[in-house]
Amino acid sequence: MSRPRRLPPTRLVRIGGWTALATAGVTAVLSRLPVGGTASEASVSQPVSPAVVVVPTTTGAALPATPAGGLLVLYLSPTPGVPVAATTATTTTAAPAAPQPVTTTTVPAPPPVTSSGS
Amino acid sequence: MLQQRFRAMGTEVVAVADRAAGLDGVRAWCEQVEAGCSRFRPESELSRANADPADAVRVSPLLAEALEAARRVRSLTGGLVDAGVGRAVRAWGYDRTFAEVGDRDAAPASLPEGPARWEIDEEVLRRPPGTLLDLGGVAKGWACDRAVEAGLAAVVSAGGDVRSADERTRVEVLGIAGEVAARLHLGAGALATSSTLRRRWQAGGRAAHHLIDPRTMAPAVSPVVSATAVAETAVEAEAGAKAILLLGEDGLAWADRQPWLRGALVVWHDGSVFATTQTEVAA
Repeated sequence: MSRPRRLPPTRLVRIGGWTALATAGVTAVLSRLPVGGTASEASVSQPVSPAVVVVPTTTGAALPATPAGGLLVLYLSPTPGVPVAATTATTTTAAPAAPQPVTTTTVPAPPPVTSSGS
Repeated sequence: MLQQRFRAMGTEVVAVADRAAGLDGVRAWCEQVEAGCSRFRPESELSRANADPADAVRVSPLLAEALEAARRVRSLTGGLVDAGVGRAVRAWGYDRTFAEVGDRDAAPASLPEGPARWEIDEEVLRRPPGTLLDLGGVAKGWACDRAVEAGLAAVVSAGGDVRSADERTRVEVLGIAGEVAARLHLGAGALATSSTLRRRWQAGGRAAHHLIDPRTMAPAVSPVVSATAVAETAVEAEAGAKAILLLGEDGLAWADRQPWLRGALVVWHDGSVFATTQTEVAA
């Protein structure tokens, strides 16, 4: 299994809109992407066939510190840590028995859509 | 433009269109999809097909197309995302709408060895009687795709699955605490997020959630708590997001090798966000 690897700075600049941040934060980025890395007890292999892969079977196994690929995204929210609950779709509220509320508003352009999974 | 929010298919739907008639069309379409594809409505066509004792069941064009989308998802992910895990989903406790799901003392006493084998061909569904197909997120993504492709709306989002025909569309991906974890300029395309942070409950002393790993037939154990994939269609994005989450540590590396995925990012268990190199994360 491939391990987290040190990423060349040239790849960091491919994160659109984050060139300056990525450059300034390169030390932090690389510190989060250690060479080698802690071996995971919860190994997962590729899904060639569901019948032959090794999968984690317990929730107690140590979780890996980083993924096998990918770049750490340093994201500075203008309101860090502030939940956007007002726009978060919730799945825990029972649907009302009355007709479903439908709200329609006029917008100049498509507003940002939130995606949190369901 | 007009934006409309309403609940359908067990989640919040947001549609943006130039015309009110388009929004009405999206709402009617979502109701059609739910009536055909919900496993929580006993009278839905999918529920009736699941209960049918015959080996082969003729289904409507709508359900056939949704099943075709599910088959494509299974193919794209090498069997990792399969609608045939419905029996395991139910065995772990997700046997009613999520609002009604509660904790249970015991884990399932027995589970199927793997997803049920099923095929859809010429509007005929073939599977062993007793199979429970769960279209879940695939149906939502497909509903978004079809609504936008039919010109009903410029953007349709359903529970984290987004399909857009508008170049201006932006998406905010939420993190562990509901904060904005990343902003993406989606433009014309699709995006889906699969998460184990929501729709969770306890079963037999362990955390359970709706995302079943077909290799164990148990709720996935993954260092990824939320995976987002960008693709041309919401069905493809849904396939990518679920597969990345199931693959955990190797999910992003896998995503990088899939030509049908435009990009992907994950929220790691510690809240960190990682993205594939081609993913354009906006400022």
